[in-house]
Amino acid sequence: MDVIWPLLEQGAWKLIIPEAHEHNTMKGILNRTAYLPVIPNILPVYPGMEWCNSEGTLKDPHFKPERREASFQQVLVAAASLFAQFGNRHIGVQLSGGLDSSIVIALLRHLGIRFSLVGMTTARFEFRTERQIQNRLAEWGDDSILLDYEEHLPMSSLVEVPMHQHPDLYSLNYASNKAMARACERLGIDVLFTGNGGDNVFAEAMPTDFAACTLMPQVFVDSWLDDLVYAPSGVQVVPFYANTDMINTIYNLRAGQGVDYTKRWARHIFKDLLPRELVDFTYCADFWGLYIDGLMNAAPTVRCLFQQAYDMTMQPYFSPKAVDELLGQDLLRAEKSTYQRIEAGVSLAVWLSALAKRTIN
Amino acid sequence: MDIVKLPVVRNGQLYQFEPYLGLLLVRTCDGALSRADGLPSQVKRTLLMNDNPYRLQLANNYTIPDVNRRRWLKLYTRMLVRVCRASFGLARFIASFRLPVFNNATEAILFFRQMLPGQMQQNLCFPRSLFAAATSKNFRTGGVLFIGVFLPSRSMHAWVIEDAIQPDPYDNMWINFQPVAACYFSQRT
Repeated sequence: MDVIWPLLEQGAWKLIIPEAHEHNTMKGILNRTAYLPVIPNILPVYPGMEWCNSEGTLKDPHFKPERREASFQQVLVAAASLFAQFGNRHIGVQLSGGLDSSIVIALLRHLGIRFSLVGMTTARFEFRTERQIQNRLAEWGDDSILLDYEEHLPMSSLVEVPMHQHPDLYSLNYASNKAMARACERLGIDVLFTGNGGDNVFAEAMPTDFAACTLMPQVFVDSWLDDLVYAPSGVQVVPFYANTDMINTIYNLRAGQGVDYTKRWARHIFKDLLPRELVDFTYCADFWGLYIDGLMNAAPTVRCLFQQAYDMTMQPYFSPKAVDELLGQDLLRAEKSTYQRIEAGVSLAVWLSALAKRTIN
Repeated sequence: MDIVKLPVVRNGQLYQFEPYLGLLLVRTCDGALSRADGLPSQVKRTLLMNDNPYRLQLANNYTIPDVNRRRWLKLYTRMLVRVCRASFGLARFIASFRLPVFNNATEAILFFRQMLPGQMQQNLCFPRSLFAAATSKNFRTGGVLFIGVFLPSRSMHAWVIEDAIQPDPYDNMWINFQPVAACYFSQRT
């Protein structure tokens, strides 16, 4: 079915299984096949997923690369062809200061295509190299807006999250993306390219046996953010590395290579287009600091959201005792498993709270 | 081996390293700090590069050390790991007695990593850095061992910068940590 609003209006939300959402969060986006229904009998079909009749489950199909001659020139051709699909529309790129989006920016500049830049920046110590790249690349675009991440930390503005049909972790990053969408509006950006998927196509192993390819370009798309945050601002989000032609070209060039977490291959092949700093160095800042501060700031709101969820569902998962336990953990240990549980709980409470705006009378 | 504290102020909190027990102390504080004042020139210079990582040079010229070459070095490695677990101050004291057998810190670190391979290296950043400080021929004149914290978490890390090079090719996390202390060999000793 296209929408489950009627089911939600009939009260399907009362039957939610919070533990299933926690399970799905732990599994992660690369294991969506193993997701359990959070609302009984309902599994969301994310773009690109397929139904497997023999197993009776949803599957995330692996990409099937085509064998072809590939060269750096063909990377340029694939990029030019992708950009050309957007004709005269105003192109923007997310300016993170990392390698993947910088390659997109460098390609646009090399191809002589005009573009604007929008990004989040912060004065935090760990982001000092990203900041330097952002300032450098900001000069390459026609215009640019760098927003202060400190004003839009993860888990901020949770009560402003719009209604959505199914709980989603991306709701926790609503504030920063909403601010970026508004910045796109201010600059008149119609199409926003992101570096999503660069971590996969540049860092994952590319087996010589093409049938063993494990790439899943459909997971490079953040459909929750695209639909609920960017689309209302008239912005189409395009993950550059989800393009079939681009993946085929990169796959053929990298075939036979093992994992390359520091993306040395990508740094080398784009060396003539990128700032020297990105070619020679492999620095990559961690987002933990932002997440920890975001959660600490949001703690009072999180308590209110859990209370509201408890009042709505009477599920012990949202009880005051449970939230005390959840937030009473040592949040400064920066351990992934601790945060995943919190993210799952908060995104579920945010979903219920947003839902209350429409379905609860 | 000398140590200088590099206190950090963030959101009204002063983070200060206790140099004998190896603890990070936190207290409320007003105002900012100018931490470059009075620092030894070697630390000041290296700290500037640490704060501007694109000024660093790349570790290109090194040979992979032969782990079987010296039995006593293996024993020293294991001893240093044990002492680091027991006492920060004692470990620093032991590493003050230099055993300069490697050409540079990269070779020392690669030796250390080969001696104790795998996941366990994640918890051995301090003994690994001390080992490099004690056994690299270049460290005395051009090296600084930093101890840092990834704020606002309590996560801590140790790493070395020697002759404008971050010598550990496998350390991809040092960039996140803000130095709170620097260990170095004073030029007068």
